[in-house]
Parts: sequence; C-alpha cells; structure tokens
Amino acid sequence: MLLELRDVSKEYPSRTRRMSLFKPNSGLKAVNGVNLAIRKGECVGLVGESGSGKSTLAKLMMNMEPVTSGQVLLKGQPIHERKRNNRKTYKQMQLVLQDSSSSLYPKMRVKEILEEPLRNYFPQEKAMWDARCAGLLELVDLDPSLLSRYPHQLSGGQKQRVCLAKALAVRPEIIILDESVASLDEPSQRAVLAMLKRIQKEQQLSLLFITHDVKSTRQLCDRVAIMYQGKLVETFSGRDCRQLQHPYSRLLFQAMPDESF
Amino acid sequence: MKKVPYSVDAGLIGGAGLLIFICLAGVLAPWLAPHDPLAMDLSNRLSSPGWTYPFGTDHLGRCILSRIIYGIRISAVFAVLVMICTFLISLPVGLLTGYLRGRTDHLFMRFIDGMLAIPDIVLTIAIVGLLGPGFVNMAIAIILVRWANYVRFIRSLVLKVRKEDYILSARMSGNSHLRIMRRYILPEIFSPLAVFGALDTGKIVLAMAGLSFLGLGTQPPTPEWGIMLHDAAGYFQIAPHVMVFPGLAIMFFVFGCQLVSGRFSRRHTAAVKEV
Repeated sequence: MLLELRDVSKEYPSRTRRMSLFKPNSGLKAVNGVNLAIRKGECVGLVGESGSGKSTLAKLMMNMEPVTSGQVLLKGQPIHERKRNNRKTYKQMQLVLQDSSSSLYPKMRVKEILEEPLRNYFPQEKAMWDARCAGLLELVDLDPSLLSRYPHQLSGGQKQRVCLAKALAVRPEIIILDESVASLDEPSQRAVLAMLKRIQKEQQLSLLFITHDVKSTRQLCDRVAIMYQGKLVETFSGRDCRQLQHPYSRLLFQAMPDESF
Repeated sequence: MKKVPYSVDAGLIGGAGLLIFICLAGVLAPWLAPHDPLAMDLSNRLSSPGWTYPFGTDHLGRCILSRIIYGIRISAVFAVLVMICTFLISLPVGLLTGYLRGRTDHLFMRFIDGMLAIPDIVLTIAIVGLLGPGFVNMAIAIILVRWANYVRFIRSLVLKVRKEDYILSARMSGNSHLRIMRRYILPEIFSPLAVFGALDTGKIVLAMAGLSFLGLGTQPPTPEWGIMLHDAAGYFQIAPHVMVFPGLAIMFFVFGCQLVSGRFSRRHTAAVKEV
C-alpha cells in the first residue's frame, strides 16, 4: 500500500474564549476517524460537499496540519509526526491546490517556478534543468515558449497545467489534486482530466482526486470515496451506483444526469 | 497579479528632490556653510537675516545657516542610521515570529504589547534618563522604543503573506524556511516597509529634535536642529528667526519623507487593488 490513513481525526479548537494559554479548547471535528488506502498507480476520487473535510484531509496527508488522532502512513512509514522533516514527504507526495493563480508566485517566470523543485530535489542534474523544464511543459501539453512568461500572462487552464508540471517535476509517487479543475470551464476541465489520465498511465502515478463534482471522477478515477460531515461514509469501486449503501452517496449519484458510473 | 506601470509623479520628484538636496547639503557642508557653525561672535548676537548671515545669528552670535547645514549631518543622517539599526533588530524578529508562529511568537507579542502600552515619548525619556543625556544614548533609547512598533508591523505583513498558497507551494518544492523568507516573503513586504521606513525617518528626526529640545539628546554646542530650537526658545519673542529656520529645516525634511512614502504607499495600494 502506498498511502494509508488509519482512523485519522482532526479537531479544531472552537473560537470561544480560551481558558488557558497553552491548552487548546475542545471544538469542531473536521475529520472523524477516516480510513483510506491508496495503491500504487491507482486513482482514487474523494467526493463530498463543501465543508465535509476533504481539503483538511489533504492537508493532514501532507502533514501541513497535525492530526488529532490516528496515523498517516506512506509506504508503511508514519509521516504525521509534528517534528518530521516534511521535505522527505514532499519528495514522494505532492499537492496541487485549487487556485492556480495564487499557487504560482507572481514575481517568478514559469522557468524559475519549475526550476525550484529541480534545484532543491535534483541539484546533481543541473545541466539537465533547462531540458527538464521544457519537457515538463510538453508533458502537460504546453508550449515550451511559455517558460519565459509570468503567471499573470497565462490563462487559467495554462496556470493549472504549470502547477501540475511543478508537482511532476519532483517525480512524486502520489499527487493529491485538491479541487484542481474546479475553477476551469468544462472543455478545459475535460482536457486537463484527459491529460491527467495519460500521465497517470505513463508514469504509474497514484492520484487522489478531491472534488465536489461527482461527474469529473467518472473520467479519471478507479475508485471513489465519499465524505460526509467529516466521515468517510462509503468507498465505491464498481461501475454501478446501485451498489451504494449510504443515503448521502445515493443522493449524490442520483443527481447526476447519467446514473451509470 | 497584474503589473502596475510605475509612473513618476510630481510628489515623488518633489519629495526625492528635497531629500537629495538636504543630504547633498549635509555632505557638502564644509563648502556650503558660510561660517564656522561653532564660532561665536557676541557682538553680533541675535542679528536679523542679512548678507553676512543669511539666516541671522543665534544668542551666541553663531551663524544659523551654517548650524542648520552642519545639523543635517546629525539630524538627517543619524535618523536614517537609527532607522537602519531598528530594522536590523526588528526585521529578523518580525520575520521569524510571523513566519514560524508558535509559543515564541506568543511570548514575544505579549512582551511587545506590554512595551506598546507605555507611550513612546515617556519610555524614551525614561531610558535616556537611565542612560544619561547624550546623542548616542538618545539614539539607543529611540531604537529600544521603536523596534517593538517595527516588529509588530513586519509581523503583520509576514502573517498576511505566509497564508498565500504560493508559500505552501514553495514548501512543497523543497525550499527551506530561510529561502522562503528570503525569496518569497521579503520581496512581498519590501514595498510597505519602504513606506513605513520613509515615514518613520521623519518621525525619528522629530523625536530626536524633541529630546534635544528637552535637553536629553545632543548636548551644546553641537549643531543639531532640536538643540537649536531648545536654545532659541527663550528668544522667540525678540528674534523669531532663531527658532523659525531650524523649525523649517525639520519641517522640510519630514515633508520630503512624507512625499516619498506617500508615493510608495499609493503604488502599493494600486498593486493590491489590481490583484
């Protein structure tokens, strides 16, 4: 198993007045006892409404927030310790955020943005950096001439592809896509999803595709996990939505124009 | 972020021109000053502005113009130095507390809250009182009082930037915290810091002049704008020019700082609105 979540919970302190400087108050459970496993080369969709805890779960996987309880294991090794050097985790696991405009530093050109992970993770390949940057852009169906552009000179779809190229530059084993196509129009969404499917197959990459849109999982995912109010209510790997047990999952899939998954 | 074209306007030209003129006058003081700023001529006490003494003379017969020109070296140049020293202390503290947060940040902020609860001028006077009057002690007191303000300001800027997605993205690209601070956060906070620094240089000149006026800063006979005001206070009714000219010098310097910082401030606000 590549990535495994064992009974992971996350609780945020409530906004009421703190009684102690050093002890957190009990508060809102954003993620509640989630168990999930992702195999190598597998694409898992994580679907749920806004506020169901999808993005929090992604942050917990990346150790960007400490878990309240439970374990996050990458290749069997725990990666959720507070003092852990996250650089090692990021080498194997990358997160692509929803808002590509704010994910790209506006004062850097695309070339500098793509060179950053290469410089930090592959310093010994310095001579190859230029070719790698151009290759990464080609991989995400972009023209290498865009290397000299600033993010504000790119369209929304191009920015999202650059974000993906940046994640791919690290050569990770798993990429978490947190609502990464949500801000794109439908033709761009379809194009990006097709590109993701191609890259996933070529590189035997594992993907965790987080979305609130069930339809987009259809094109990409081998398995769909459904989150509701912080809990993983159902994991669904079949092609027939009649297998669904939980009322929320049924409601979610019934809302789709074509019921077959 | 859309780039905002940088158009040079009258305010910036005026402010920068004024500051450059003042600084050049300070550098070229030995050639520009018509008289020795310390030379006394008791037969010419409190004489009105004229050809020999363009700004007149003070109560000891010293040339006011020469003292103002030499005063630039102390008032303006040391104000900039005090500001730089304050930045050297507060920039690392503000960056680290704002970026790393945690318990250290909490403790630092409570300590700074305590410091800021005491009015600036009272605390400065108390510190100079403890250290003893003098120019260096005054500079130390101003730095000790102002660094807390700077840390608060820098921290607030860092807090805003560190929440940006590109910082998270930079972390995932394998950048160290130090590199993120240097490469991503510093360029973002530079513009508002320049505004704050330019504005504060004027305030430091005023603070130094105020302390010298109270007899806690520069000691006579050093030509400094604040001490000139202090010395002239007793003669204001019979020879107003003795007080007016040093006052105008302070006003023009502060005005120049305000113009430059105002221009930077407008540019920064425009850039934020364009995002």
